[in-house]
Amino acid sequence: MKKFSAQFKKQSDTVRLRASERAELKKDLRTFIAYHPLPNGTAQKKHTIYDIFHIRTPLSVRYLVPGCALLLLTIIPVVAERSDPGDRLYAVKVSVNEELRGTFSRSHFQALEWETERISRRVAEIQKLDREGRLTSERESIAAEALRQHSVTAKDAIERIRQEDEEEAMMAEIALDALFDVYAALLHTDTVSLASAERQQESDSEEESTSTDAAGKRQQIIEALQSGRTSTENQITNQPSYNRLILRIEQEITSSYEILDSVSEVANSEELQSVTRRLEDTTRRVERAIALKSEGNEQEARTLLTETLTSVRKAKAFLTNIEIRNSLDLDTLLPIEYTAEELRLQLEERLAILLARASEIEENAEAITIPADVLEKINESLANSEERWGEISDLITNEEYAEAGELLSTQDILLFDIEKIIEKYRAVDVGRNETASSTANENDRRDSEVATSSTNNTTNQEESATSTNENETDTDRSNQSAEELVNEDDAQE
Amino acid sequence: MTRIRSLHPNSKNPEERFLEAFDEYGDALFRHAFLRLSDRERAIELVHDTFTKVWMYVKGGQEVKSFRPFLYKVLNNLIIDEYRRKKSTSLDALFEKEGIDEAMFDDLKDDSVQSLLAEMDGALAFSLVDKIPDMYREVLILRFVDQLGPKEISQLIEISENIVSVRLHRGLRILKELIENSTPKQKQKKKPAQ
Repeated sequence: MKKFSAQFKKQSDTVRLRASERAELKKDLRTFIAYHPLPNGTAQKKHTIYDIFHIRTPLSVRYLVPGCALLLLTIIPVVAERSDPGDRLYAVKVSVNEELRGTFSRSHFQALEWETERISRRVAEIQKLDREGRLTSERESIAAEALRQHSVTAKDAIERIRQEDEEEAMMAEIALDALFDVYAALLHTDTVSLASAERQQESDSEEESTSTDAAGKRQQIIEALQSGRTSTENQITNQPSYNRLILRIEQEITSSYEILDSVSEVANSEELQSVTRRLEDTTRRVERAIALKSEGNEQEARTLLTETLTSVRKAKAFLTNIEIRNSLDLDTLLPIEYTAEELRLQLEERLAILLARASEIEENAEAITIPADVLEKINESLANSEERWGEISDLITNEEYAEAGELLSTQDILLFDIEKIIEKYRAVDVGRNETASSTANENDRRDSEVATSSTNNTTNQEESATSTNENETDTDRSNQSAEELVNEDDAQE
Repeated sequence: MTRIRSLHPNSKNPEERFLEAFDEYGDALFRHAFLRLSDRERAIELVHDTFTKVWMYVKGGQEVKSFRPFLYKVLNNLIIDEYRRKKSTSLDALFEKEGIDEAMFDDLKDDSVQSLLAEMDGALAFSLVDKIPDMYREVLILRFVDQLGPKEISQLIEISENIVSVRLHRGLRILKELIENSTPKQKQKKKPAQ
């Protein structure tokens, strides 16, 4: 689009007034202005309140008082802009500065846009306080209350929009709900709250802390955001028309790509790839919706498009807000929608891994000593799995990916259990071998003593007999302990 | 160049500020008028009328907060008047004549603005822009020459953003067809006649 736009613009720039035409036009305008002068063209002395009431005041006061008033009226609002919930000037920021800016909105759309901006500000304030460890329950209450008020005002703006354009109001509701979801997800992340919890632990030892618990932090804000939604999550009440949705999604995707271009220098490549992937997912969803519509399922298509519009708005919020990009994982906000081909490859890979594990289990089972009944059960499970592998493979071929995934998970758990059992018997085997090895060494030592000493043959033989008995007892004890291990495992399973 | 913030009668040197506005926006306004009307002399006259109207508005005690959109608004209204004078049929009749139903958005599913723009040569499109109906030419010029966004365009010509998008899309499609049907000789011509 950039190339076309640049070429078009470049050609159009060749169309301009000639120097003579410009000069002629300007001369005409000067003449026109001269013949139609503004009223009170010359500067007149304005009568001030001091002149009207004949108040004799020193010149310095005449300038000082208004000057001070002007200073206060400009400085206080500027300083108030930096305040946070709970600060003295916060009320000036929210009730004066922001309200005043809101009055400049020329349309209900602009009013809604401004209220959305105010919601973003409240969330940013909370994050800032949390980062600095200054988020007390009182401050949070103040911010949550402000959020609720903004939500109500935003909904009022949407209702006024609804009187002009019902569908536009629905779109606005979708956008607002998407924003609330993004911010609720942002505040749920542990990063900031964990850092605050650490600071809380440090400050506790120094003085009595008035901070809220880490677990309960921002809960009021999150509740305020959730209550601000126009509809409950996953509930779609009113939906715009199919055509309107398609058009809006197309506009949103276009502007998202434009934003992507503009942030490409500041965002890292991984983030850009993630967002690009989500936008591609969105395009595929739109194609599915178009297919549904052509099959006559318009309602289903509209539902899909409404969800798609929500996804695009979330992706845009991720793109345009650096705080969200730094704090939130896009996978949490918008999971990737895998294509059929990707799903198939993933499932085939999982199947190959599980088959390799099953084969390894069979080899390991042969190499170690396992009681016959346990081994029989293992072999039975592996034999049943053979059928399952075939079933899973068929499901993948028939593109029944959900069911194939479930079966693979089941098989995964089964193989894990078998591997645990084999591992335990391997440990038993190792223990037994170590015991047998140490006993054999002891026997060798004693045998050598018998061989070298002729006077103590009888005693040595008795001793060796005793030691053999002891060895047998030891072996019995180790076997018994292995069986006990297995029995314990069976009892636990 | 100093931007004019206000033409309130109490502003300092409003006359000079007004003339500065002409220096800044005169070319852009002329360009817009000429591309819409394809008549150089008439375009100059409309630019002159635009500025004189604005001056009279200010002289009446009104304040112009944002000069650029106001100028475009006045010029656009003058262009609409010009069309009404020239054509015997109304714009609505123009709709019917061309068989256009702007409620039908089905064609948007087939191709997107992006894919259209990717396939088109901007310079060649510019040379053929005077051949498309004014309804579409208007939004194309506002978008790609005057660099206004869909929202600004919708506010300026008082139609919804959706219809702006549809007209942009259709205008581009018509341009695309014109490009495809143009002869090689026409493709060599890159400038409209001035």
